[in-house]
Order: sequence, then structure tokens, then C-alpha cells
Amino acid sequence: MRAEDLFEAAGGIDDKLIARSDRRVRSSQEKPSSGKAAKRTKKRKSRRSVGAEIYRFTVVAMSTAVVVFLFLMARDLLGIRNLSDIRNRIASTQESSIAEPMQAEEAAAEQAEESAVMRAEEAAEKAEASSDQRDSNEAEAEESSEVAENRAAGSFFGNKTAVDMLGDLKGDYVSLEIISVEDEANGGSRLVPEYTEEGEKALSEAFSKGKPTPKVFAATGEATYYVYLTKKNGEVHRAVFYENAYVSMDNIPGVVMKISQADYEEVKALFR
Amino acid sequence: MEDTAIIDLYWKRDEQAIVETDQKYGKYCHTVAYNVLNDVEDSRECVNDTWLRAWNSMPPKRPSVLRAFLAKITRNLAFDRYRARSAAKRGSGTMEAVLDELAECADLSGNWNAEEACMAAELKEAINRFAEQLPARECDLFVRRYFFAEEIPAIARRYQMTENNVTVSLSRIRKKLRKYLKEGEFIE
Repeated sequence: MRAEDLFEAAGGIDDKLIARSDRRVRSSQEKPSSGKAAKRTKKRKSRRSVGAEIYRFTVVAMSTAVVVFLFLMARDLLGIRNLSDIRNRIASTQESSIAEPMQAEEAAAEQAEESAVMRAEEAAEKAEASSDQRDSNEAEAEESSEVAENRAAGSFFGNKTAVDMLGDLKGDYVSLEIISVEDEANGGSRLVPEYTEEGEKALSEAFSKGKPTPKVFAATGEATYYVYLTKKNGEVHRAVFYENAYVSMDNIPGVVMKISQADYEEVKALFR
Repeated sequence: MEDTAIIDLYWKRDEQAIVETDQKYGKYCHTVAYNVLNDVEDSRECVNDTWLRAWNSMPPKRPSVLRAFLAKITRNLAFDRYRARSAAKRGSGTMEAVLDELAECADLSGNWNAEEACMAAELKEAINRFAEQLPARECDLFVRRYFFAEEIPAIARRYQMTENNVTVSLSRIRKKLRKYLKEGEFIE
């Protein structure tokens, strides 16, 4: 049997099947014969297209609404305000995890120091030596009371204190002091900087908008200034400013923040 | 004019029957012939032959569907003409493609000679039954392709399918046909 035989045999397909297939083809291609029918078809089509448009619009609007709702829900649940907020949260988490062991170490060191002093005092034979010690203690006490007064008074710029310079961080800290590395090495005292708008911008930039970089990859240069930040609970955090406009926090090891050179100059200006 | 009226004219041996048939189905039959022959002149001659054969068939025949009756005559005449024309060489075109496809279902190595030609009627019946048992859409595709020898893009347009979809469907139909013909022992 050849393909031609098969084709010829297909010619024997029943008339009804052929007519049926023809009918289906015609009905799918048929055009409305009368004007009325044409109008009806046109109306139906336009109704369908308007319906489709409305449907499409509704779907888009609904899906947009759902996305926005989910976004707001997620924002609310996560408590996201802005990027600096997130950074602060991360920083404070790291602080608390680092601060606890540090506090324990400090307490142990203090205890050891105290006991050593006690032993030294007991072992002291000379009355002069003990009186000298008392004098120096008194001098230190006087000095520290002055610093405390300074801290309490702060520097005022209108109603703003040095802590206001911290920007977003000011809720966490109650005191801000600043000292150059050189002065600290020479036993100089810390300063409470006067509030200035430039100072606030520079410090805020430094603490919240800087770009975090692993310390090993950053050419920070020499440390130039220390900024001491005291928390409500008395914890003191030290921030170190470097000559190449980097900032690091002692309680966040291994990370430095790059700030702009202009901001760095503003920080430096706090000493003038 | 209604088909029944046209058939009545044939039965009355009124030559107006041919004029009416040509008016109503001339284009249609020309398309059927052109699908097979792919030649305008041959198709026109084929349509004229169709009117002659219809004239000779009615009476005694009284077709229930005149359109399909005429399509069948045209198609068979066109195929005869195609075979005569391409006895020397086979060209290329839709018809060749259709035959190539059907060759998948034919048993080329088998003997199908004059002695077994009596089986042709049985084969026609078998193919008719096969078409009848197909689902409506597949039956339509089968008829359009293997009765009318329509091109695949044309079939796709008619049924609002993609060409690929039509090709795949036809391939499945051919597989079914081959199985069916094997079961009927038309092929080995």
C-alpha cells in the first residue's frame, strides 16, 4: 500500500464528516450578515474589551495594594525606620555582647588594684609617703569633680548640648568628651566641645552615615582624636578618629567607618 | 438557491443546475482542486469536470449534503489528475507533503497490487470509521489535511491554533491511524 492509496481511501470519508468539518470552519470564520448582527457583534466585542480592561486594571490595582500592604506590615513588624536606625541597632547589639565581658574584666582589674593598694598601704612604713598619697588622691578627686561639673553643665548652643551632636545616637548617650591622642598621652584633660551645627553634621556623619569597612582593608593612618561617649548606665565608649578620615569604635572591633574629608575637618575644628 | 432546489434541477435535467452550482460552489470546488493540484488552470478544468460528473451522477444519486458531495468529486478528480501529471516525476508542494506524511502510515514494503485492489473499498470504510471515532477537533484536522490537503498554516488559522500545535496533533493522529491500520491488518 502506498501513501497515494491511503490518500485515495481518505476520499471515502463520509459526506457528513466533511460537511461537519466545513460547518465548523465556516462558523468560526463567519461574519455577521446583517447590519443588526454586525452591530450586535461589535457591541458584544466592545463590552468584552471594556470588561477585559476593567479586569486588568482591577488585578493590577489589587496586586499593588497587596504588595504595599505587605511592605507596610513587614516594615511595622521589623520596626524599620531608616538605614541609620538599623546600623545603630546592630551596633548596640554588638556593644551589649562585647560590653558584658569587658565590664567583668574591668571589675576584676579594679578589685586586684584595690587589694594591691591596700597591701601597699599596710606595708607603707613612712608617714610622709602616706600623706603624699593622700594629697595626690585629693588632687585627683578635685580634678574629677571639675570634669563632672563640666559634663553636667555641657556646652550650650541655644538649648543644645554636646550630646546633641550625636544626632540619632543622642538618645543612647548622655555625655560626649573629646581629646586629641597627643593630649591624652601627655595627661591632658578631655574637652566638652561647644555645640555647632557643623560639629553636629560632622559627628552625625561619622557615627551614622559612614561607610563600614573592615579595618584590615582600610588605610586609616594614625589615630588623631578620641571621642568618649558615656551611656546612661555609666558605660563609656571610645571612638577613635584617624588622620585619613576614618572612625572606629572600641566596642565594635575590626570595623572602621569612612567619613568625608570635609566632615573630618569639622571634627578637628571642635578643638579650635 | 437552496441545495434541494439545485438537486431538483439536476433531476429535471435542467442545465440551469450547473449554472447555479457554479455560482454557489464554484469557488469552493476550485479551492479543493487547487489544494491538490496547486495550479489554477488545472483546477479550473477539474471544477468543470466536477460539474460534468455531478450531472452524470444526479440522477440516480440524491446527495444529502451537496457541498460535501461536490467536494468529494472534485477532490477525487483532482487527485486523479495529480497522479496523471506526476506519473513521470514528483514535484514539491502541499500534496507531496501530505503524501509524505501518509507514507508513515502506509506499508511501503507490502504488496498492494491489482489483486488486492478489492481491499481498497474496505480501506475506505476503515478510514471512514477511523475518522468517525476521532474526537471532533482531531477529526476536523484529519479531514482538512488528508481530505482537502490544506496547508498547515491555513489549518492553524482556521482553528486558531499555532502551526506547531497543528503539526503535533497531526503527528499523533497519524500514529493512531497506523495502529488502527495494523489492527485491521491493512499493514504489517
